[in-house]
Amino acid sequence: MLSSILYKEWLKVRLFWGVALMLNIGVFVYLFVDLRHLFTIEHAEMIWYQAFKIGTLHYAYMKYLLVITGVIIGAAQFTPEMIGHRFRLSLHLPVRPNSMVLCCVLAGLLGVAVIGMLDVFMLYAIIARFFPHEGAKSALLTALPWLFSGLVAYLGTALTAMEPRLSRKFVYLAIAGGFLWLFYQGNDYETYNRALWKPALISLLFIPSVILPVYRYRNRTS
Amino acid sequence: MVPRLARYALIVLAITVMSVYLPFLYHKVSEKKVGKTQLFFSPVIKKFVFREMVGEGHKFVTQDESGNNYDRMTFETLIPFVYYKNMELWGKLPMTIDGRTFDKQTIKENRQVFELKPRMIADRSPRIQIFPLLESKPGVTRLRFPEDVFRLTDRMEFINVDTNTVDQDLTDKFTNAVKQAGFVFPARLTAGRVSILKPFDEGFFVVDAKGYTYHVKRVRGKPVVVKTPIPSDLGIRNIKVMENKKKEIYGMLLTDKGDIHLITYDDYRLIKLPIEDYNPDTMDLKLLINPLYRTAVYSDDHTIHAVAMDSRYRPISRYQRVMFSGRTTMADTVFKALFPFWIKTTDKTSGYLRFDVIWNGRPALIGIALSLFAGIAVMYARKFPIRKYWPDLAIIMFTGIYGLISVSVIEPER
Repeated sequence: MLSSILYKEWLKVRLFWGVALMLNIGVFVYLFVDLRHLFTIEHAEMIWYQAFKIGTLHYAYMKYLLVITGVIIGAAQFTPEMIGHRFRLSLHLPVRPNSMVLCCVLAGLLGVAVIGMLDVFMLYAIIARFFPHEGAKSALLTALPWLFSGLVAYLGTALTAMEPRLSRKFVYLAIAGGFLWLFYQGNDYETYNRALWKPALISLLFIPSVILPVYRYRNRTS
Repeated sequence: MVPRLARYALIVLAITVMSVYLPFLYHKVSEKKVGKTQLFFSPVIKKFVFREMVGEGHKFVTQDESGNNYDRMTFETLIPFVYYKNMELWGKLPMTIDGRTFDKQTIKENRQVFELKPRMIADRSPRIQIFPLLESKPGVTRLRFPEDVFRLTDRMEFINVDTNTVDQDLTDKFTNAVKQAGFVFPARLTAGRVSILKPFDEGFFVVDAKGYTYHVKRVRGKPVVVKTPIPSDLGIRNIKVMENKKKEIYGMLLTDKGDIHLITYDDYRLIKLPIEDYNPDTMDLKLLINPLYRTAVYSDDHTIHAVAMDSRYRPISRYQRVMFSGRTTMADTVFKALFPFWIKTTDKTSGYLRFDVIWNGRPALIGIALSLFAGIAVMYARKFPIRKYWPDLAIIMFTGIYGLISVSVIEPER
């Protein structure tokens, strides 16, 4: 049954997942073209100086890319369910509601994570094309919190979308938004090297927390 | 049971978010502009003099260490080597101090400032270990960045920036040169001033695997490597290179113990600065050199310290004071009472972000007690039996206002 749920979720989001994938690939293609252009019009030694000494992040515009991806997939997965109370049908499947919801969330997380992994690969490959591997490794470490925030954005969207009461939606939105912003505190490279594991670990609590709005939906405590 | 755990998971997330942003907002609202104290040793009266902001706007006190007040102009006249351009403007140059006469040129040539902030220390900020080795004798007026950079692995590897590939010839040339000088890979520390906005280039100081310090330069395209006599057991934590036309001091060396040494041009002889109670992880350090004295001034957010030295770096006077900006204000006390703890994410002494819980100590008990009363009142008003929902009160007991807001907004399911 759980594999059927996973397949159902895939059918539901595949179009939006494809759109998000294209968006991510598009941004990285632009990054490649942009860097290539930069190296054409500027002296390479100056670009390397800016990147390594001054701390210019040439790939900074991918900052919110996976957040957008997480929101797209989360909204595509759960908003239709909440319209016209279709979610009630899913809750009547012969599987425990908590397991069903966690399975749906797992499917969405996988969808975001696959695109995130692709982003990691593309970022490393593109930066390593123009800079030494130290620069590419640094870009990955710098982008890691941004990529992780994509998963938080997805979970926050799921949490908010499934909540039946509007005022509570705002509360969840504030918590998710506030938590998300914790991954955007730095402006230089590798600033999260020593601290990222802490907010990342706490953010795992978003996974069990999505059960609460489902429970509230099922029992109509709104 | 599961929805209850889900609710607590959400409450923990809410508390985490609030303990970052509420204190941040509190500081935004309550913070007043209070600059750091400017402290100098006056060569005129042989006392420390300082200028300190003591209120909003432009409320300053300008005093010496004995408590005598001065106006701005007199203050500047007491430290003529700092304000030598004003001295010239006011017709006070050349001036005579201790029987020696100083004109603008003499002052200018004998001034130097070294600065070491915690963020500048190698292990306190991220730095990609790729460096350009400038040509020290470029044969032109300005320094230029080379078309290659180097990394230190098991060799001194040069990478061409245009092709992003290893330059084998240059790599072999420099690797052989440093090995011949006795260098043992890998390097522990690579220190240089990566800039072309300096009068000349002194290359890099590199500490090898055995703790020996080497001075590596590129002169007319060839490696010049000097094994310095700096002791290998010194425990070098950081070297800050500062090229200066005076050519007396290469830079500042910081040891693991927190000692500061100056590396001189006199065959790399070290001069240990007689500074006391210096903590490199929290304090900004400035060394001010003028024609007569050297003054090391160092401070954290609370206290400023200074030691004045003669030209041979022997201490002649010391001073320290709690700065106005370091005094506890009413806003600080309210902060500690209101928030039992807060999460610190940024740190001005480090290039790395943090995510550390800072406890506010006993004053927080006031806020916790008030939050607890408020929590009970909310439960009573909402008709939630305390016996059933006691974990909510336990949360408030440990997290104060954050817990109160969280359990009130994310209320339990009946």
